[in-house]
Amino acid sequence: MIFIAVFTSSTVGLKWFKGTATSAMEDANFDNFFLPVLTIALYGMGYIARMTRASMTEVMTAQYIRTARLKGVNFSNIVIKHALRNALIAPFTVILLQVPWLLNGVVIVETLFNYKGFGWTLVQAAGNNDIELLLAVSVVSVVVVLLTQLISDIGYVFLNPRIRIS
Amino acid sequence: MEPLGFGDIVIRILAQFLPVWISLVVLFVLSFAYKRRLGLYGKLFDSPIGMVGFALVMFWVFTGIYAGFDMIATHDPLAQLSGMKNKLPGTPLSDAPDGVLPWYLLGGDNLARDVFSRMVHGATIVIAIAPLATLFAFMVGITLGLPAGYYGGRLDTFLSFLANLILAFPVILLFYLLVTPEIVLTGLPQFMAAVLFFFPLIFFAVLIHSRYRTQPKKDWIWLTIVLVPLFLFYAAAINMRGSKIGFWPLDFFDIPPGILVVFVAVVFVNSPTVFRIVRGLTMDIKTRDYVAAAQTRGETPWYIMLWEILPNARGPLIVDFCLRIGYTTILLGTLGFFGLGLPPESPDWGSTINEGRKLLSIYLHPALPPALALLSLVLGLNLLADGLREESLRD
Repeated sequence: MIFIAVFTSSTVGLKWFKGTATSAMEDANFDNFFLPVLTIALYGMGYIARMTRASMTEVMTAQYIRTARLKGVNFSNIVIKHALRNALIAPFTVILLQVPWLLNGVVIVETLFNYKGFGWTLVQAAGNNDIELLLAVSVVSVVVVLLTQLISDIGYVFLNPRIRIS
Repeated sequence: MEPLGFGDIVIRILAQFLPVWISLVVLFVLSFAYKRRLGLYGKLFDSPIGMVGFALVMFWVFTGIYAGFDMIATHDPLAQLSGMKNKLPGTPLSDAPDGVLPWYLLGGDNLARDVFSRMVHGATIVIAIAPLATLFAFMVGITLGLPAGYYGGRLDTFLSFLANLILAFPVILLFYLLVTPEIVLTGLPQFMAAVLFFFPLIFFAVLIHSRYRTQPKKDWIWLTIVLVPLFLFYAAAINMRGSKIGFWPLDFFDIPPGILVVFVAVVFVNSPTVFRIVRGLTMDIKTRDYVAAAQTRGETPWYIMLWEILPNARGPLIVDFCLRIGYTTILLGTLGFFGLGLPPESPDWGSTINEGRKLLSIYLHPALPPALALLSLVLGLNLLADGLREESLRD
């Protein structure tokens, strides 16, 4: 548990420490792509891990978990089949919320590593008063947001069949 | 004057934090003594993890408060003293003015300012803005997310549409828009503040009323106790002389416009995410048996939402809250990174880390203290969240 806590907070710090600029625009290989990807991945990983843990500990105290244990189902089966699906609502939301954030919010990381990605384009367009580019970028992000949120709504019904979304 | 050794630096820093240590000890002794009478807060002292987290968080809170009264910092965080550029920790000042400590305890940054004082003063800004902004975002998210998840249908479609709209709106662009002088002149940030800051009032009003609906006397007492001060704060916060909203007579404090913009923007950006999380949890918990039981008892929908569903969704929400505070701190720094929001010389941790990062490979010391401070604060918040969640789930 403490490990996860340390892990999360250190990723927050880590984000700033790997201050080496890499231009991986032309050929992306392991060397120049490792650090930026690692930074973003670690941040999301800690966040999602903690969310999952929070709802998991709650679900594991439920009656049906005890019943399953008394029935003699082995532990990994309980965790994966019985508990995880009920605990996944909040983490699932967070995971799909990460996608729009990865599109727009990682400008810092992109600037840090000098990688000219989507967020960078956006900042440039805003800085240069380039309305057409701005519109195009916005359309892309709107489509992505709508898609991910649609997926998350469908996912809720899959995770808990009793949920009804009109 | 000799440069200080490592041990000397540590001892002097610990000595500078003396008021903080004293308050921490007093707080802990008092809390231990009255542990059983303090409810959830007292129960926190049963779990070692929660205690460590609480100590870490309170350490920075006290530091922030005392630094606001000029107590801990050794120098002016904005003063530049000659000959101190990028000097190592413990370097003595060349010509120290009277009455100040003749060393830079943690060295000087690239503009010859004291790193230690900047870190301490940064705590004030971080403690003042980040938790409060996160709290407001949560109020907005919860007040809108609960009915969206509970009622579903048209309301849900409409609110989700709004949330998606904000989510799709690029964060950086929003900040660019909000700090533009023309936009500030139209009073848009203030109107946004007027709307966003109103949500806590709604939240508490509904929270209390749904609970004491059947006992009008208690209802009125509680509503007055909570809502009157809240409303005074609300009115004073959005009110500013010489701007669009300036009619309220009881204006006892003014928020600087720069900070207001940052605050509003952070709340605005964070609330749709919270909204989605709360909505998802509500839709899940709504299908549980105890909600059906409450419906059968004839409880009002708001009672079910706020007193049945919300407490059962607290686990993920507490964790998200604490993580979000850390994220908000970084977001504040990010804004400084693009020259938006807080003024560039502001000593808050995010900006300082950004500045120090540029010279990281040559001079490590300017970036390290604020980074460690941020790290310990986030770690403390995480531990506190764990402790709180565990203790609150125990009964």
